[in-house]
Amino acid sequence: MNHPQKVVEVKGLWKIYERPRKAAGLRGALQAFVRRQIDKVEALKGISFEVYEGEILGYIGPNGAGKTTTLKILAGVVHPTSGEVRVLGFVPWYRERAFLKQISFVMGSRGFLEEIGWDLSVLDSLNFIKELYGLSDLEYRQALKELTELLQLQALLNVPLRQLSHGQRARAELAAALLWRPKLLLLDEPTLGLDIITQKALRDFIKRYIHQHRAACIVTSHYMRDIEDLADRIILISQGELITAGSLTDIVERLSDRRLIRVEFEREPALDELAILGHVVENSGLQVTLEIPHARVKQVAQTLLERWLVRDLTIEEPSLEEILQRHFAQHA
Amino acid sequence: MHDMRAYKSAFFLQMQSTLCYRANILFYLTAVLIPPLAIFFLWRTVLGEVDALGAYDLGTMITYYVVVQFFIAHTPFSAWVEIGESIRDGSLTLWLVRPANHYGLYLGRLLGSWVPFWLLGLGGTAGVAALLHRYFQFQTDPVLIGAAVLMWLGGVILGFTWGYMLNLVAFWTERATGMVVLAEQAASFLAGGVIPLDLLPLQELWLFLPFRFAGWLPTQIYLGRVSRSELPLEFLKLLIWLMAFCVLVQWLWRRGLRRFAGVGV
Repeated sequence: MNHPQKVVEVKGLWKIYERPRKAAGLRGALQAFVRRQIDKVEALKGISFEVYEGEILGYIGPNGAGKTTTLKILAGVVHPTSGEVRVLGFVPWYRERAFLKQISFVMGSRGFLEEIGWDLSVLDSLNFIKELYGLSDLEYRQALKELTELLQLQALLNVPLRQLSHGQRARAELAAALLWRPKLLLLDEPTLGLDIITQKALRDFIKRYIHQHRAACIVTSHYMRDIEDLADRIILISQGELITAGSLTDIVERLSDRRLIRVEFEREPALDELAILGHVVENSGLQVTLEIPHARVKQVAQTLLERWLVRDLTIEEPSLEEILQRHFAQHA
Repeated sequence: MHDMRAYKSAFFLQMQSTLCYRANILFYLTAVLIPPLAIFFLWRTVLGEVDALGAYDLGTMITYYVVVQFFIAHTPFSAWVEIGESIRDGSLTLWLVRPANHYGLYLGRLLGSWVPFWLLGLGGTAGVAALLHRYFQFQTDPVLIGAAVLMWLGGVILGFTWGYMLNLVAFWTERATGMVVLAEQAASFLAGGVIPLDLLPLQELWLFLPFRFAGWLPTQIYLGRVSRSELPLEFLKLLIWLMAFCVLVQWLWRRGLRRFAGVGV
């Protein structure tokens, strides 16, 4: 049996930034102008993890957790303060050509096509990328055909970038990021600002690409739907530290000992009686949602069915988003 | 080989981008025409009183200014402030993850954006020369014309490298715009854009500095004041300066990248 190859290996990664401090207002600006004060910010505190080929890793955490810093280190843009990193067998910050030709770093906040030129057509920019990555005509034609079909870009190829909508640009950027068929995709908020249809289209495409090309992917996103849909495995970080790692089910199990019971009654129940059973999180007359400890699910469900006329009852795990909100609120 | 393909592609891509703005290019023409004409009236007044200033009579002086203005106005001493800005706003990140040399890509892009202006400027300068044909000294020796253009092209690369180097200071200071603009003004003066360098005091110093390759020296070659036998030595000096700048750029780049945090994207 073939074991999947390790694509990313990170051991004890630390990054300490220097950040100038400036108080608000003109006074603060003058003070900073005369005497600059520098703060040391620990963005990453000894993170370790691995990513294998064919795997999509969801890398999540609140703002400022160190997600983008990690991706920038893996892409060779930022030098770490200490720690060991190997990406596809390379030390990323040496920025060897052979390494850079195998990775792709996509930032939802800023695209490369935009950087190449607003006034140029998508095809002009893709042609430039072809030369940049030294693709042969055949390689380029094949990749372009596949990407334009899958991302439905045919009609947009000759349109200047600035005339595309945000969603169209995002699709074009994704094509531009995959033209050289990278073995590692680093996606930083890839669906930022996109409508739900485009988000789903991009997610489906990314999944297909990773599995078809046996590539690996690390994705950060604040849209938990991205993570739930894409990630085979999740790493949760906060304030530069790894909190937990595992599959989506593992994370939900580990971080939440609560379940939601949604009940639809035949007649409106007395809320104070329900409140004895658990925490009422939603109430719209006949429909009530109770949050209760996992261990009491069976007992509470039984009580509900015995004491009230129940039309429908479902037991749900809280969503990843709810779990994370609660977790980060507790640890803030 | 692959890098050359990338640089060439960057060159043509940027040229296409520049050509998108037709009005901008035409407005530029006025900026090319006005300074030589203004300087003509100035020097006609000054040299109306005396026969010559140093080795420059009115015809030589007018020719010097028309030619040197063309060279200096078309030399990118500040490179692109965009390079420094990309360090400050983090968008350099988007270039760092590409398998090509950043300096080479930007040189290609910059040349691509300038070539349309060079051609337009050349046309404008030829028009000014024709207008001032009573004073302007037309060079007829193709070797000297070729050597002047070649020397200036070397000066352009040197000027770009100088500007690129200054932009890299943004790795330490976050914003290098002030220094870059100041250095551009200084470079223009030191290239002989205001006063011919051989009319300045301490001329040994000014003639030692590299800025002369972008203005004063190619103009002297055009005027026939540098003999053919002196040309190889001058080209060698240009090459030495270029190599020294490239080593310095490499050093600053490596050290700067260690500080780069990519904040902003």
